[in-house]
Amino acid sequence: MASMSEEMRTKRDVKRKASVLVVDKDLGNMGLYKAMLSAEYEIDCINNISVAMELFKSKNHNAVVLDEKLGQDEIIKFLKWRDENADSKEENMDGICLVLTEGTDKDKMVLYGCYGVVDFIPKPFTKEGMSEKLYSTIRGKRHNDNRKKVLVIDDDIETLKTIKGYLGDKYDVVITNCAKYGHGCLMNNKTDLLIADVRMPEMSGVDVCTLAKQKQEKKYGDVPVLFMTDMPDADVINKCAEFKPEGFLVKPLEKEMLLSALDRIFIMESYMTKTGRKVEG
Amino acid sequence: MDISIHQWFELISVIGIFITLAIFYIVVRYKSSENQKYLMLICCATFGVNFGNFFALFSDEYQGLLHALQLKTVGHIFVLTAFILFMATFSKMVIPKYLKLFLLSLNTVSICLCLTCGRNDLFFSELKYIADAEYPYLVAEPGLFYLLFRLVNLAFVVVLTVKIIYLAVKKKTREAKRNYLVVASCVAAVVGDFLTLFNIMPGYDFVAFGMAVSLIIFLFAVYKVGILDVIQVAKDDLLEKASEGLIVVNVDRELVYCNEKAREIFPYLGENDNEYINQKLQELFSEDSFMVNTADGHFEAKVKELTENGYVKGYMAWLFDLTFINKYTQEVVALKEYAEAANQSKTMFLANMSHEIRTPMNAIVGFNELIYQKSKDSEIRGYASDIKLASTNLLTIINDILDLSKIESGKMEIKCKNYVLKNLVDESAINVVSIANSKGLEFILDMDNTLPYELNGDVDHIRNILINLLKNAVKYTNEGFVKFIIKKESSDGDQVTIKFSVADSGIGIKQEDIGKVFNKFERFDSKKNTSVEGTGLGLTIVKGYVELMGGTIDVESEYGVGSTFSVTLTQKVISQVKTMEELSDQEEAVEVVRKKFRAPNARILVVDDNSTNLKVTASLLKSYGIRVELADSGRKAIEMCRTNPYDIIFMDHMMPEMDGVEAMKRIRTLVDDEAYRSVIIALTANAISGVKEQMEAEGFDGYISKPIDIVLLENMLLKFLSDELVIEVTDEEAGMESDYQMEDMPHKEHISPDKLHNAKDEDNPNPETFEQCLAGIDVKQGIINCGGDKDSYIEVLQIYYGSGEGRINDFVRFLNEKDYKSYVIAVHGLKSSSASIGAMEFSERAKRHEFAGKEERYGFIHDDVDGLLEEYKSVLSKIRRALIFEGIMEEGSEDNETQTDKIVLPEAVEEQIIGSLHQLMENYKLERIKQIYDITRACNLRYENEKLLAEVYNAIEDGDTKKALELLSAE
Repeated sequence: MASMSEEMRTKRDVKRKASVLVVDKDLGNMGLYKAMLSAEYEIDCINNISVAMELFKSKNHNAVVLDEKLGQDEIIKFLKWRDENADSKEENMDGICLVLTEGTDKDKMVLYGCYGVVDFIPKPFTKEGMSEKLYSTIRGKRHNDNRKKVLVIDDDIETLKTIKGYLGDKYDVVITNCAKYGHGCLMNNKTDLLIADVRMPEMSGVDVCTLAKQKQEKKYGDVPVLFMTDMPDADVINKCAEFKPEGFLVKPLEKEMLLSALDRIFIMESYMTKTGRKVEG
Repeated sequence: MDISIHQWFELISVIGIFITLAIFYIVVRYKSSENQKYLMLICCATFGVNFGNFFALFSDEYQGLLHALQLKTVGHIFVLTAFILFMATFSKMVIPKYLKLFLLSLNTVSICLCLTCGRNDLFFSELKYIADAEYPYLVAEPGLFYLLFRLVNLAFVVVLTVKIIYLAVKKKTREAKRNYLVVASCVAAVVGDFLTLFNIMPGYDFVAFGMAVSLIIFLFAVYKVGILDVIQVAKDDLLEKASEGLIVVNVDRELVYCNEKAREIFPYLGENDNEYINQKLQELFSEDSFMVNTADGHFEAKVKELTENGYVKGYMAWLFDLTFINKYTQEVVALKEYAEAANQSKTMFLANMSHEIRTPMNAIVGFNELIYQKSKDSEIRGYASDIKLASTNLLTIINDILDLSKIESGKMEIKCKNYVLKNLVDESAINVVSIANSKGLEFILDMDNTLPYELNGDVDHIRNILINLLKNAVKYTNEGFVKFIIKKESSDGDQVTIKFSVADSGIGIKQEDIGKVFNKFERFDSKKNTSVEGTGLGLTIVKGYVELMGGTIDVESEYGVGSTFSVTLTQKVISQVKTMEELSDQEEAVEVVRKKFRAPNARILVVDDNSTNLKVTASLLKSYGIRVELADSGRKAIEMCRTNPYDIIFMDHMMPEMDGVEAMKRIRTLVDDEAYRSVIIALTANAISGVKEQMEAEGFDGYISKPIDIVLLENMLLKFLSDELVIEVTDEEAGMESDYQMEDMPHKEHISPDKLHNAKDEDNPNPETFEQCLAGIDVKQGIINCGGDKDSYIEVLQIYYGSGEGRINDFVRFLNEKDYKSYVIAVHGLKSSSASIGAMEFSERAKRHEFAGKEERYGFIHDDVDGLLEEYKSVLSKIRRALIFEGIMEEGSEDNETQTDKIVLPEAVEEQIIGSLHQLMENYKLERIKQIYDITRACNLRYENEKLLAEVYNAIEDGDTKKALELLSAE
């Protein structure tokens, strides 16, 4: 049974071990790490931050474990570097970061947390302890990745809050009242759906899309978009049509309608990715 | 061959006879006319002449010859006469009567003389018998008359010939040919005549010969050219070819004549079965008129008598083709039926629409009322009252349209009731007095005090009329006055005629528009009046009502000066003056004050198939703290009634499967005992008058129409709920609605107020009861306010507690910023929420602050604020204790006490974190900013950093990224 289901999966879904990069100054621990975790994970052990960076870049591990003994500066350096180079859309270097720590320096932990460290593995580490942390954090990330990210751009804060209220449970919603900022968000973060108001004072939803397209990066231009407006207008609709929006919503929005629209969009998408086929129309 | 002349003549005469016979036959068969008659006569006579000639040729004896001669001559005379007459009619020359008379008498005399020539010699002067061996003949010497006769006739002939030649020459057509031929024949006859006259070839009469020739020519003419009367042809043609059928029958109803069309309609007429034909005709002609349907169409005929000199000679029938008319009539009938059906469906449509429209209106009005009640935000309440206004307007428009259609279709009923005239006037006036005053208009009421006190009539419609007129007056008047005058016009026995006049100093109506003022949808001076709202139906409806009541309505107006609308009605008088009882009743009549109340123990069931209506009704009832249960069908309602006794059941009237009436009846049968009889009130969107009585007749205890008027609902509740269920409350307390959940019906513990005792001990350090924790707070009252159960009360306490700290901070801030407006609002809220949990003393204190703020006594506020906050904190801590007691809160969960748990970061670290925010924001890393916020919850950050982070976080949460950027850029 298992093999059959495995066969049915596409390449992407083939079960593989999660990869972990452990960075520890202490060479002696490397063996330990390998021994403890190689059964479940693909382990790479490095004792040097710079090399770790290279390796992380090339291999794109699911998780990076940093030992606190590396020092605050090194760790922050790594984390900063990671922030600058990570690309959430391409899922490049967006693996989670953990820090091995004894737990005494709380303020450091806070700081690391503010730089994106997700969790802390208590030292002295045990197989179970490490394994469990890794498992839960990696799984947490996977779960988080599966949640669709919806970006909503509208100059009216009420609308933004309303939509966030409707969608917040099921999706990760980012709201902004500034179209320019929204465009920035779109370019820099993984977005699964853009909901944009067509008429906005400085820049309209259409402009956002236009800009996105212009940035040549096709990957961002491909984000499905749902336009909203309070006054349906033939001109506006025509303008929007060229972006082949997923739909056109008229304000005031209804929760059910919005949810079902999103369901439809994402089902389509998942169908497309599963079969590798593009659905026309 | 040697045929002698004699023999030739014999031959010719024989031929002549046959020819004339033939002609005679032909002409007879031809159409009859005057000409034809003459021709026939000519033929006969010519026949006679020829025969005579023949006879003469074959006889030897004197007598024989004489007779032959007589015959010939007589015939000749006839011929000439007829010929002349023929020529005259043919050439259309009218011979004067006397000439005709002369001719005819001359010829008649000549005939007589000829026949008696044995005795006289006037005609034939001498008769000589010439005994020729071969051919003995008679020579007749012309006598006087003979000559006379011949000359006269000749003269006529010549004249007529000339006329005909003239005509022939004149007309170059077929007619000309005809004429020529006639001329030719005449000439032939004349030539023959001459020959005989002048005795050329004595013994032989050329006359007959000439005539035969002329007749041959005639024959030719008849066949070829068609010699007879045009008019006659036309007449005959007309009859034959008419588009109507014509059947002529004789007295015995036998067929005399039928034309082509008749034969078409009745094919058997063209056939030979005379018996059948006549039998049929007997039937047809038995009545005055008959009709027949054939494949071609529908014909109707009238039978007419043909009389001559008073004798009925026969009957004729003209058959008219009424196919088209028949079809047309049928079409018209069909159209009429269609129109009636359309009208009927329009009426039914409107009746249904009434229901369809009122159902969503119900929802709008009801929910809006709830918004108005529940919202504390003045802006929102403002919106709600706008909605209320608009929905009232909409309802008015709908009612107008429905009323108008009712009036037009004659369905509007007059319902007469006894009423007090003064009250009617007051009620009408009240509607407009305030509007008038707010417009700066003077409102004058002038009522004749000789008018009777109590009358009988359709008071509701009269009120509508008066309010309509008054509202119009105010609407169209911008300055000046509106006068409402009620005068007695006349009285007659028990009837009184009253004139209601509404006069205004408004914009007036132009003379040419006055006639149109009651027209539908007409509004004048549209440019000037764009600010005035309305459908334009008001006056039309008013007129409709007035006329329905048998009254009259008039309008006088001067453009730019003002208008006066007067309605004159006759009403029946019930009593002229007030009776003593009525006087005392009047004094007691007080304005109905909406008393606020709650009925937390009442059980009410609402039955409606429409879920929106259910929700609305339930929500309205919930605001009284009532336990409302719902049923979406009659069946379900009955089930529920089986197990539970309800105090009141609101039953929707129109439901599918089982309607309200049937459900109500079934519910009534469930319980026999009158003491436990459920009160069932009908809910209906039906707005037709008489429904109330009908509902009551069915067995309902009352009726409310949708949209539900909250005042009426309250009255119903007060009326039907027994006194112990109704609890009166003050304003603030009433604002708190029951938290009772509608969906589930758990059996919550009911705490009756008597069981609780008021804990008087303050601040008991070791409280043993819930109430002791809340010493100084009227828990009993608090619980009541929160719906009557402790759990709800505890929930409220939690909410109250949770907002506590924020409130304190707010008060401080407002006073620091001297924002008294916000302070008053905040303290007002504190007052009402404290009252609802039962903290009455504290609430009073807050009230003092509120009023001080409103009266701008800021000194007091500042002086007392510390005491207020102290007391507030005390209340909060008591609540905290109570919540801990109940296990809702944990000891030490106080978050505004110590922050020892929190991490304190080194300044550098904090700076680093805070510093990174800007960059993160610029790089759109909102997720990370959120994470930072979450992490630092556990930290005790420096105030500015905390504030900044909180503000940035809140801005991002709100979606106000602009603000977040601004905040961070400022750093």
